[in-house]
Amino acid sequence: MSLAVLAVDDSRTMRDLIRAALTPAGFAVRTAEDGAAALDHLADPRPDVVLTDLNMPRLDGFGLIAELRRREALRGLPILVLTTESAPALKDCARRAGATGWIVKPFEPGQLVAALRRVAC
Amino acid sequence: MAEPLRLSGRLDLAAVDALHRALLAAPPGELRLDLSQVSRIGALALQCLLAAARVEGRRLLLENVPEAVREECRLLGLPPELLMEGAP
Amino acid sequence: MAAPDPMAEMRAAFFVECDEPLEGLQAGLDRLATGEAGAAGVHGLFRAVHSIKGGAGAFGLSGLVAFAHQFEGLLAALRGGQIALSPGLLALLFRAADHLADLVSLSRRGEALPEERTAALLAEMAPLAAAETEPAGPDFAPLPMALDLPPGAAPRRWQITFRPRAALFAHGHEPAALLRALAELGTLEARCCLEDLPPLAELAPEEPHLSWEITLEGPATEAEVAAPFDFVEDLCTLVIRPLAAELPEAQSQAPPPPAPAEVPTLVRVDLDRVERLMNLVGELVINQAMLGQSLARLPLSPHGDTMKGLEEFQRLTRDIQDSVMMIRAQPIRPLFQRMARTLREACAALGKEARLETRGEMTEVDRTVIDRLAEPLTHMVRNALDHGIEPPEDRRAAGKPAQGRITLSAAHRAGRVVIEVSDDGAGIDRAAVLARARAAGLVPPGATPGPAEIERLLFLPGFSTAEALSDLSGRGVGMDVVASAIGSLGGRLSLSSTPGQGTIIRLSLPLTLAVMEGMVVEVAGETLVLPLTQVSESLALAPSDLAELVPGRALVRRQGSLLPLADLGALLGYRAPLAAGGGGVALLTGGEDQPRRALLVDRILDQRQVVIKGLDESFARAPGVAAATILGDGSIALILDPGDLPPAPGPGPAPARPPAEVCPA
Repeated sequence: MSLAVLAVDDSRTMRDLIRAALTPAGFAVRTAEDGAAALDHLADPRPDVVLTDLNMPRLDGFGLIAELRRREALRGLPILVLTTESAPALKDCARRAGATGWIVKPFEPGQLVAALRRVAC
Repeated sequence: MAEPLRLSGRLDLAAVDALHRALLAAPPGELRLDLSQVSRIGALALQCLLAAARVEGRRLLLENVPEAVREECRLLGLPPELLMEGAP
Repeated sequence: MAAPDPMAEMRAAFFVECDEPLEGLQAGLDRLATGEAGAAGVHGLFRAVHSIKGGAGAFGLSGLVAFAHQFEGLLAALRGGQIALSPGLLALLFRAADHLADLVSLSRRGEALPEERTAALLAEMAPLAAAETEPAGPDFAPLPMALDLPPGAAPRRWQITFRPRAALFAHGHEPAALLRALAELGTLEARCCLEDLPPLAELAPEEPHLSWEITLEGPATEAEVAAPFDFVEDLCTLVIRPLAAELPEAQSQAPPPPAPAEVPTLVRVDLDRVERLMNLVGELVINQAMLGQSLARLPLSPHGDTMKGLEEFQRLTRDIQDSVMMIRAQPIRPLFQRMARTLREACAALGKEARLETRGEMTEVDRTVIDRLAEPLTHMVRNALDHGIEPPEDRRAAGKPAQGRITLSAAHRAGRVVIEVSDDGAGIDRAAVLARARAAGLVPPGATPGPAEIERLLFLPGFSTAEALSDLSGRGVGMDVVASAIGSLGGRLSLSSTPGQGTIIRLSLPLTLAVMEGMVVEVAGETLVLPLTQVSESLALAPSDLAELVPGRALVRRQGSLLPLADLGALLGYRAPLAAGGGGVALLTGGEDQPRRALLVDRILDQRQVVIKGLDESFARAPGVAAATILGDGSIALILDPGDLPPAPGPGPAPARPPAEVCPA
């Protein structure tokens, strides 16, 4: 049974790269181009982990994390932030908003897979 | 011997409520739990099992524990044997 | 055929995505230069470079990553206040941004990167860049990497007490995952404490009552031991001994999360689809014209339903056409930004100072027009600097600021795009221009052209001669070449200059190259189209209008001057030259930027918008034939470029016959 990942990033290149990295490792990848679109993808089946960028139009990473954490049905859902930023203050913000972890771009496929397996398995 | 209660999937935060109710509703005496379909077991689920094992007159039997689950239990200091005894 | 390589596609998409941060970088630097940008502005610059670096790393473009990394460090130092903004630093930032754009461009084409120039810039940036930039490679949190035992390092023992709160689970964490991470640092043993565990019936299943006492043996430092708990600081109680039993510091208030930039909702569309849509709309226009013609032949009342329906249809078609034509339209800003760079480089080369100001940079123009405008605009900017802007000493002597100003502006006016290139330099030296024109034989001896006419001499073909050009414009480009490039776009060029104050060059361009206002004429039974912008007058010829100074070369009298009359029928090989005085219509073409001539046609049929269709390359190129169009009756008509027609009706080329098919524009 493969793990379902919802990857949220406004860059099409990134979404393709994530899919290319995770699909061979046995993940079932769904993507959304921003936070608002991501909220449409939370239904059946519920993702096992959400991977999200921070800077996106309409609803950004912080907004998405906050919304996901508000939802009763999604309690305990691991949310990883995947972003080019690494400022400690920003990581802190994400953590308080409810992010489970933080991965810096650019990523190597093996490391992304490992990070997801740590939280989602 | 009664039919075992089959648990399945990831026993994480989302699953723990249902697990708790099932354990409460189980008939008294020996309770067999078949874990063959369980992929991962979270700390809160283990907590539930522990509490269930400690119920007066309850005997908990964990069956077909997958290796991944066994490893997780050991890591948390709660190997299945200890769980079944309700731990000291 | 090999399957398309997904990595190659993603790589291509990445390069397209680089355009935005590169543009943002230029715009941000401009604002920094004028003092409009604050700390947020510098952060925006940082993020633009950072995002390019991120993507480049994913595709293994290490040269690009290394340069971006250093550039980013420089911006970080500026943002952090470790270095101050000075004119020197600003110039370096501009150069670095230009170089970054070059590296992206070269990487996109798969070409080698310029090592020396890159190294030189890196060396310049290095001393200024922040000391504490993070490593250029990927970096992961919260898990530490596997550690090598430094020789002789003493293993340590740690005692860790860990008690999760309910929120820890709600945030997607699991104690098992955290302990697994700890276990990577050494030998781990965990003991679970359950003293607080309530009975099953009283247990709230989501409320944790467990805690752990963990012993870890390994060479890890306290920081490394704390690292896996990075993200769960507030979600548990954590005690790490034997070092100072401080809990990880609570963070000071974090800055508010960056506000999401306001972006309009955009969609990404394949260019092929846009082209296809434009072609289809072009066909729609043609078909509608055909329908109109068919209906016109029927005895229908002009006020009846059918004709009214047709009118409505024509109106809708025009609206659709306008909308679709603008799909390919883009703001002209990137082109103006390139001009800023051109100017910077030219200033460096010539030792003059000038800045570029832009207005109306969000004016939208069809991308094909933008593409073909790049070269002439570059020459105009260089010329303005070279010939217009005086050296700094001369400017100061004249009471002007040492730094010259060149302004580019763009605006929509009356269905066209108007672009102005103006400078505050010395204006056109009319005496010099006249002298050069006389030397080039462009002015009849004894003629005394007025100021406006002298200015127009600049545009005459053959005005610029090799010796007259400076190093900068040394590739043999003068205003005459620029003028003909603009003309071939269907544009018009005009110039006005005030001595001592500066020069303004005005370009008027069509909004799009796909559609044109045409004059439809008949010549020897063939239907031809001439660009309306190039036809200045039409004249029904009476014998008194003609003169013949040389037998066989008719001339048209017009406003006191004589213009050579070209017999289009003969020129294009449709028929033998007509005898002079045989009637017909003369179309006067050319004007300020092109040689004036008169073209003889049989009659004028119509004046209307036509869709331009290109001619396949397999057809032999006939001079003067630019493209083709499909008329309302379905027949194909050639579109002529009057400036390209041969000068004399000689024996002529093979007849210019329209092809059986045209390809999309």
